[in-house]
Amino acid sequence: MGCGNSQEEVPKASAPNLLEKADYSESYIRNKSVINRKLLKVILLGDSGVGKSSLMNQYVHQQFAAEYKATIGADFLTKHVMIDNVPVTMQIWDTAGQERFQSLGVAFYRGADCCALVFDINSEKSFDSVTSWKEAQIQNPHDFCFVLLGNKVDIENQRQVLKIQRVNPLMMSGVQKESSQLVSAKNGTCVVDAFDCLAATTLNRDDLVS
Amino acid sequence: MQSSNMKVYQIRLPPQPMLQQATSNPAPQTRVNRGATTKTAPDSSHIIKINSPQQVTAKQLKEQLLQQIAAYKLIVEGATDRQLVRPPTAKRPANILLQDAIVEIDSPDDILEFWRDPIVTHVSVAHSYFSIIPSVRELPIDYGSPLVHSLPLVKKALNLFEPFILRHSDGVVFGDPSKLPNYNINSAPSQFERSPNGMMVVVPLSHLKISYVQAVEGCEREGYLMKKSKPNPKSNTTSKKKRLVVLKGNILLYFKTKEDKAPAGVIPCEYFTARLEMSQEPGMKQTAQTIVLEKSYQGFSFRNDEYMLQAPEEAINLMDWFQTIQEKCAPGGDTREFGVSLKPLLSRYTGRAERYTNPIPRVLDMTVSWLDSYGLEEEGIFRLSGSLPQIEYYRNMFNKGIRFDFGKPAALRSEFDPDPAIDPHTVAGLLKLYLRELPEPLIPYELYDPFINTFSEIRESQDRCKTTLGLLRSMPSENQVVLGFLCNFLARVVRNSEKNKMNTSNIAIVFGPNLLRPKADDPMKGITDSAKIGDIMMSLIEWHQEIQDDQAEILASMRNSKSGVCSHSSSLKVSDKVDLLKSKTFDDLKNVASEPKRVAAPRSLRKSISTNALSLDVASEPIAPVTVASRNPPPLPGASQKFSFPPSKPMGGQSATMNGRIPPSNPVSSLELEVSILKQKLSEETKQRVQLADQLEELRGQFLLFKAQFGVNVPLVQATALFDYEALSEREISLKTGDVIEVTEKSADGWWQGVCQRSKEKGFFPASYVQDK
Repeated sequence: MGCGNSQEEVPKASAPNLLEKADYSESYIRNKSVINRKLLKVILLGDSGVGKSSLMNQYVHQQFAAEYKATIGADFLTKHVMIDNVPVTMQIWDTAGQERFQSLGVAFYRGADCCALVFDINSEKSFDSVTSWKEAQIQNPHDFCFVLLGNKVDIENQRQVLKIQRVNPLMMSGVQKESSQLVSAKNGTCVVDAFDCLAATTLNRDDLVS
Repeated sequence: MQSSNMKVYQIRLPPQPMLQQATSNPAPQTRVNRGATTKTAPDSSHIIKINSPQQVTAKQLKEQLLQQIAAYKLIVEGATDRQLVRPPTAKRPANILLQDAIVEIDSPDDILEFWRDPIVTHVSVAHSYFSIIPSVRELPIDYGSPLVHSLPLVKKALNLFEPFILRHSDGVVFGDPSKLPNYNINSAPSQFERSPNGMMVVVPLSHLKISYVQAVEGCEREGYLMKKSKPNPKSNTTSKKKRLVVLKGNILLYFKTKEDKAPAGVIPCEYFTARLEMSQEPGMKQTAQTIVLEKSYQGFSFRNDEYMLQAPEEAINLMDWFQTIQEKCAPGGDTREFGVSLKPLLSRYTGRAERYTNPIPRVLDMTVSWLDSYGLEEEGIFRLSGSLPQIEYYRNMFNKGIRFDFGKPAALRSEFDPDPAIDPHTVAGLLKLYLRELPEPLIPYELYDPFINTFSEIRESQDRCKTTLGLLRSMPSENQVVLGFLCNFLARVVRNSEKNKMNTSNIAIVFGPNLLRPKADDPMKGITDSAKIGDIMMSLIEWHQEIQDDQAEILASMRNSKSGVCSHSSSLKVSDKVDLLKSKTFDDLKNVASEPKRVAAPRSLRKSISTNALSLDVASEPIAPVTVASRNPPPLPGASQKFSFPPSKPMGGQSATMNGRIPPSNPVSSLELEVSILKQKLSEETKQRVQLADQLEELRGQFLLFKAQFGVNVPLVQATALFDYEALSEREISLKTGDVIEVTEKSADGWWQGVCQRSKEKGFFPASYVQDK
């Protein structure tokens, strides 16, 4: 992947003198011309409790809150990253996983480029409902790039959903198999990787389309 | 020829072209005449006489008949116990050829049909589809194919005047019932049809030619009702006709006038299901009740699939009619639980004698009691989603009206359990789905904005609470009760938040939008308001006690109406009455409080209070709130305190002096209402709490005595003491663990009244110290 080290978006982030990485520093990315910058809207979908908010927080803030808290409605965070030397603003939308939001539909997902379907590898149920999330939400699935993220890989001993490679073909068409990953929002395993990968896949796909 | 054995049938043949049977065909089949040629009949009499001999097969008969037709002369020797039946056509009904009768026939086919190859089958006739008494009457019939054609025969032969069922042996073709005019015949695929035996339900309506006068004799119920037709799809109008409706046996007959010699129509109830619909029609003050009779089984074909009956005048309550009709109807009716507004759903419950004592929808009742047992400690209960297929499965079970119990969670289930294991999240999901599928959210649309405004404008918690309670009170009473029930339950969930991690805020976030949602389709409104909805929900859970207090009164009045004291008046009316009384007594009681010497309670209240010479001197009895609090029975660990009403100061001993002072004309209901009003008052006017409680207890005592005096049943319940209790006053009784108490009065405030079996003492004790037997 092109992007090695991305940084959190904290306004007062006093970037220490990173000589080699200077090109990718926050200020650098920010100051890149707005025209060149791409906006990538990513939505996180999945059953409640699979860890969508935690994933987002881990990626953007590198934090994990052990607090057990349901998401209200929806929330989003942005992060500026370089993907293949292209400055990209990732706008990550975290949604509430309650069933009632399954009817939200287009109003919420309009303009999204990529949709990350999150499930809990320790809960087969959450994996089963990924399909319904995908189908219930998205009216034009072809406009989206889907990736599958299996969260909570840190508690593997309870694992119910086996190998993502094995289950993937069972899934649905349209999911970017190669960018689907097993992650852990708790200890950060593969989180950055997964999001970068997701962004790159989406950008490539967009390029192909255009 | 032996004339005694002979039946003579005369059949008049059509005078013109006549069939001539080809005599060369020795083995005629039913269709043999097809190739026949016609010619003008030479004989002018055109009459065939059939003398049916005793022992002759149908085949022989047929042959002879055909020959006779050919020869214009029919002589059948011997007799048969079969009757000659002419099958019906679209123009005329079937008929049985009586001896010496002369029947016009249109074509020889008619006659040929009389003589089909016989299959003798046993037909058992039962009176009711739903309670089949096997072989009530049984006869072997010789029917042809299709079976439909033998129905007139069966009916006449058995002299049947009620709907009946034919059960017959294998391989039978039913035929098309619609070809039989004047018969309401329904071939129903039943559980029998999958077996070799088939079944046919027959409702012979044509025989019901009884006059109104005859019908009314011995009928179960009669009177004028409005018969409403289905909306005309073209003009979109409905017609209403006033009809005299008579319920006789299982059949509902309707007449136009009292002079009618025959009914204008009949509805065989047992093939219909009944439900009561409430609707608010424009220009009507009250809700209109409509009894809807719906065809119970899709396989039946009746002239009308649906009948609607309404009261001829606004004021007339249809509940009696509905209950009598429903008893006669097929079970079921509208069995849906999901997606039905509370009012019709609950009226369905109360219309039927079920185990419901509280008007709580069955889904909520079942899910909440299950979650109380198994779900309270489940991590992420109500947050994590259940299995969708399972939720869908149980939803269908509910909607089909199937009685079932939830199984246990997988971890607790033994292999002998009949019910499959169920995930707590599935049960929780069902509960949430039920609330989401209500046509209107539990907190009605019209209150959405007021609620949001209350929470964005009012900052002060107590004012908020007051306004919220006011808003809740403007909801329909059943919504209030259900909401109170839910808030109480959610509070129990939150109490376990150490284990289930669902604190008030979490529960509020996941639960709020199920109860409160904007009417507009705009989903963004729901999202932008979601924080506020969470706030509201949190408060509702926190104030569950206050809400419950506020509703104790509503519950009481609803119970009254159910126990028949306010017979059959709708809950709406009761609550109206309560409101009326409430507003009145409220002011009155304020007067009582401020001017102790001027007793200004409502008339009935005043009577009891003044006869009692009860001192209402507020000043003389200052109340220390601490004492009140200390009188609260300590809540038991784990036991949910259903009513948070502050325990009142019992006045058991004095009630005896009241004996005989209550005028008999004083209706029980008004006393009960007053009891509930007093309860209501109590929670609001904390300063007058104890004095008012005294009054309340007085009234309760009077009420009990009154009940005993006039033979109203006071159900005696026994309870066992779980803990020791030391009486704090002479009106209370002391309890020892294990004591058996005869409970004479359960009141919502947490203080019950009863007789201790051990000490024979009578008095009050805290309900939380005992367990119902």
